[in-house]
This record gives sequence, structure tokens and C-alpha cells, in this order.
Amino acid sequence: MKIVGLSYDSREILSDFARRKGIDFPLLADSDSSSLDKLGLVNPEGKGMTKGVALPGILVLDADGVIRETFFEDSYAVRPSAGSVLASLYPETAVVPELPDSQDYRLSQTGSEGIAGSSWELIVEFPLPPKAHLYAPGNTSYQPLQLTLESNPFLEFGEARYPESQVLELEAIGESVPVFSHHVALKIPLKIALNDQTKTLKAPLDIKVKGVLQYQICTDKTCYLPQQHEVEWTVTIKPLDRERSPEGERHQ
Amino acid sequence: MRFKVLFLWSLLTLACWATPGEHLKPGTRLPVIEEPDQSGIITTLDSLKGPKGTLLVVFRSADW
Repeated sequence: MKIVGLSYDSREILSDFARRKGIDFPLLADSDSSSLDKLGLVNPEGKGMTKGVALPGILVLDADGVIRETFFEDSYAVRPSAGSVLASLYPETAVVPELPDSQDYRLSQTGSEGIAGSSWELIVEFPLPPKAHLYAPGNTSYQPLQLTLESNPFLEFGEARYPESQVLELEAIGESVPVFSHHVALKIPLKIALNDQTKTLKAPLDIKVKGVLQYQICTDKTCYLPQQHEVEWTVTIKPLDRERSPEGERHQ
Repeated sequence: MRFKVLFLWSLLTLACWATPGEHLKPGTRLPVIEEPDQSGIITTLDSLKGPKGTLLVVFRSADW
């Protein structure tokens, strides 16, 4: 798959940017915003030096030039990380860590570093053995799968995304409970907050995302004790790139 | 008349709330895009496509 950039910058600006960042894929210079206009992606609020600026996003085209998927956000300042785009397009390529010894779950994330506004997902996976299940939210008799994250001024967390649950009929005790089985992945959207702390960073900052994971696993014969574990991911927040193009080439 | 104004206002409000890019529906074809790249070579999206397609990243600016 080829990567192509498109912006309202001049060829000179893009040439300087590509040199500074070591970019070797094409960046198209739509300096009069005519192509952006054809795409309906000119920001109507642009004025002065931002007149003609794009509404940013990502379009995935197939080999025939037909749109297959798009990634756009309500706010221009929020954007998916490269890792989360790749994970969405090619889930089979996601790096899946080995399951630690005697641990029921593994932790991963679809990104690990970004600037203010970057977003990706934290993931907890349970590769359950056959005939085993985890309890889903909505039951009161067993410990449902639940992740509680510590709040952090640098980060914002979205609502947890659970897989689809099934109803398990426990005939012996006359109960019906929602459960997860097979490969269970709990995903939590994470966004680097857009605030003064993240926008004014001068150097990369490593942050520990801490939380408590609760769950209970049962099989058709055995019900194990409810579990509670402290979990942790590391996220790196990078400073905004504030370096401008050489004077004389800049937007005025 | 009042209902017409209200209806138009509602449409305008909905348009303002729309997520950018919502009109670029999967299954549709992009218009022809032809621009110079950073080396000055006039390029079309069609000429750049790979065997598995193209990832077009529309970004705000490389300057500011």
C-alpha cells in the first residue's frame, strides 16, 4: 500500500518538511486548495494564513481508487495514531505479546506515543481455553470483567468496549448470566488530552497508565475465585512540532 | 413561512455538526487529484496507487 500526503502547503514547504523529517513518500502540494475543494475538505473557518487549510483525515483507497475506509474526527486536533489506523486496517498484524506464565490475560495497546490529541486503544485480552467463560457486566452473582483506570491529567479515557456477550443458562441453580467466551478483548479508547500541560511539553514525557482489572473465570466444571490485579501501560507524550518552514516560504 | 425557516435552520445546524469527511462514503470513487509533489513532479493519485491501494493522509500544514 502506498502512502500519500495532501495539504495546502507549497511545494517548497513540503520539500523542507520532508527533508527535516526524512519523509520519502509523496506529499502533494495543493497550494490553491483546489484538490481539497474537490474532496470537500477545505475548512470553512480558515482565514489569514489558514485560508484554504484542510479538514484533516485519512482515506483508504483500494487498487481501483475506490474509498474503502475513512478516518475523520469531529475536531481537527484529535487524530488516530498510526498504530491504531494499522490495527484497524490490518488487525492480523497487531503485535500480540506472549501470555505471561500463570496469567489469564495480556495487555497491549494499538499505539504507545503521540502528541496532544493523539488517540489509540488500551487492550486487555483473555485467550480463554475451551469451555471457559468470563462474566460480563450485567450480572450480580459473579465478578464481571471490569477495568478501572486511575485518572490522569494528561490523558482522557473513553467508554470501555466489550465484545458481544452470550447468555449462559445455569440450569442446576436456575440462573441466566451474561458471559464472554473464546478470545475476549476489552478495549479502552485513550486520548492524549488537549490542555496546556500537553501542548507546552518541551521534551517527551513517559506516563504510567495504571488501573485495576477485576474478573472471574469459570469452566463447565469449576468456578475460580474472583480476581483483582493492578495493571499498567506506558504511554509517551511527545512535544508538539513547532518548527516552521524557512522564512520566505511560510504561510502568511 | 415560520416552519420553512425552522426547517432550513435545522438543516444548517445538522450540516455544521456533521463530522468532516462524512460525505466521502466507502464504495465511492475519489475525484481526480493532480498536484506537484515535494520534488515538483506533477502527480496524480492514480499514478501513485499501490497493488493494495493507497493511504491518503490529508493534513493541515507542514509549516505551522
